[in-house]
Amino acid sequence: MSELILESDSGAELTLNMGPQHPSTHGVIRFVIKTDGEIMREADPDVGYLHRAIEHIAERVGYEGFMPYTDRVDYVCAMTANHVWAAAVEKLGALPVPRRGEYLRVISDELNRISSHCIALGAMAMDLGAITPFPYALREREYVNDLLEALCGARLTYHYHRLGGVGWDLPAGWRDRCLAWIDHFEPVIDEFDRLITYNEIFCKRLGGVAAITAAEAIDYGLVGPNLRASGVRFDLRVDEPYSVYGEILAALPGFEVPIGDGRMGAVGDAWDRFRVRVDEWRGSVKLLRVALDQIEKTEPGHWDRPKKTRFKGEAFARIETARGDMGCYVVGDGTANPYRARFRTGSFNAMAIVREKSRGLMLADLVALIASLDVVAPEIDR
Amino acid sequence: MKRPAAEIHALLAAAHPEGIGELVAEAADAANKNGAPRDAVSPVVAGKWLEVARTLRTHADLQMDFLQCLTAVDWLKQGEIHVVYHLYSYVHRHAHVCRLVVPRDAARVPSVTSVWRTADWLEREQYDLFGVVFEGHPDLRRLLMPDDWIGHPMRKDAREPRDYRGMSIQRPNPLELVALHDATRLGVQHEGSKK
Repeated sequence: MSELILESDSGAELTLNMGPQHPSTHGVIRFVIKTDGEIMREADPDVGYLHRAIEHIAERVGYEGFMPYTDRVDYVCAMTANHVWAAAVEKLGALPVPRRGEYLRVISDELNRISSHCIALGAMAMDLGAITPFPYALREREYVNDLLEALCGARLTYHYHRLGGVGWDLPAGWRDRCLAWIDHFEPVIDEFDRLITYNEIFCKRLGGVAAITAAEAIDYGLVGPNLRASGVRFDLRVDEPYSVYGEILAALPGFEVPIGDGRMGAVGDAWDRFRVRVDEWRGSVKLLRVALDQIEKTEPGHWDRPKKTRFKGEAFARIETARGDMGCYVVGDGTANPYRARFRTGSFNAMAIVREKSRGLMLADLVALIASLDVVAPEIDR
Repeated sequence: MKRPAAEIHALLAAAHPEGIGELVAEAADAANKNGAPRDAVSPVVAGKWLEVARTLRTHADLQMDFLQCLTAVDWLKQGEIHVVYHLYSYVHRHAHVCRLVVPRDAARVPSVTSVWRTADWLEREQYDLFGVVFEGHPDLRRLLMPDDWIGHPMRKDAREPRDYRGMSIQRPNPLELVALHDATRLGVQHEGSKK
């Protein structure tokens, strides 16, 4: 049916602006929508409203000084953005990281992944008109924020990872507090499933909407949960283990990376993208339990601060963030400042597929598409 | 099968003897106990890049289906712009890096949007920020900067304009303001201004 309307030549095409200030664009993005009634011919994303030239700032502030700016690359999941910068510079400068520091990184990353998915899933349900799940998800995020605040003093832009480790060790009693919260959170995931994931209205609303095939997902460079929802079983934590994920996964035989299976319509539809994230909560909780157990056996020492931060050469590092595989490329010329820093982020690639996917889509489903891709505007623009 | 960079480079060089230079490999540092060694880079002749890219994508032993990252680096003193491509194969789980070197004043490289569709936005971004022209790109518009912006802001010799359409886009350095405030009110120097 959509094709018929696309081919009709009524000449009554309407150009609409959605955004830049629109509650369901998840930040400041504008879509130029060409539409003929309810069915879109095309939605062209116009990005750049949040371009703060973070890559350019890196060239002015030095390797260590840049770390707080990486929080602002993706403020919903700032820990992993810290981590990717640290990993890239450590690879460039061959810097050692103490094992306890690596465990603290994994623990903070996984907690932040959970809280980021809380925002993604809660906001997605709310964008589609289901108000109730949002406060449920945000309540859990508040608990995570409390834990991260106790760890590093901040609730959003953490600046916790440092070159060569992390800023602080675990405070007294933190481990038990975290375990108590995990015990509370695990049943909440099942509750969330009953509340919204398998809610019949929600399944029918999202099943088959904006399905992305595996070939398309790879071609457009989708990463993380968006890629896995299309049926590609690839997770950097499992397939290219970095930090101490190898050791943690060794204690978790049978750890499965969730992928989309099209049970509500088509593989890679908006519902699959939602469900994959819910299942990632379960995965993160498992990883957290093992990490909290194994960190007990590590030697004290969380940070080997590098004596000198002048590097020459280039390095590329990848980290699995909440929005997927984030790449950081850093070039040093031997001075105190990086010569070039580059972030390739999940939201950027996800945004590039919107134009293609919007053709023939219902206007109301554009919101479902954007929300299910979990784009965060500052991560697109940087 | 996962292949090391030297093997990937040898396969490329065999397929394109005129398009590929010597492999640039930096030795893994002995002090690096945690991380992987740095990546080896294949230099590619800009004019041959499209054919090399097709080989990278389609060769049965390479199958680089994911263009992870596309970066331009402006080397002002050498008068060169390097365009760096980071590739990964979901099939074989190996990665490779290719580098194109073009003169700053004639920065033109072939577009690879026909090989990887993700190159569309990545190329638009680098065109916007560095002024690298990707020949054959179907829609080479600015991505992040406003359409009527003059110049390419990430170039090393780019200077911030004073205003954009009459709106001032410069402001005093806040650190200097803090230092001024502290010096006048408290008689102390702010830590950030001590040099």
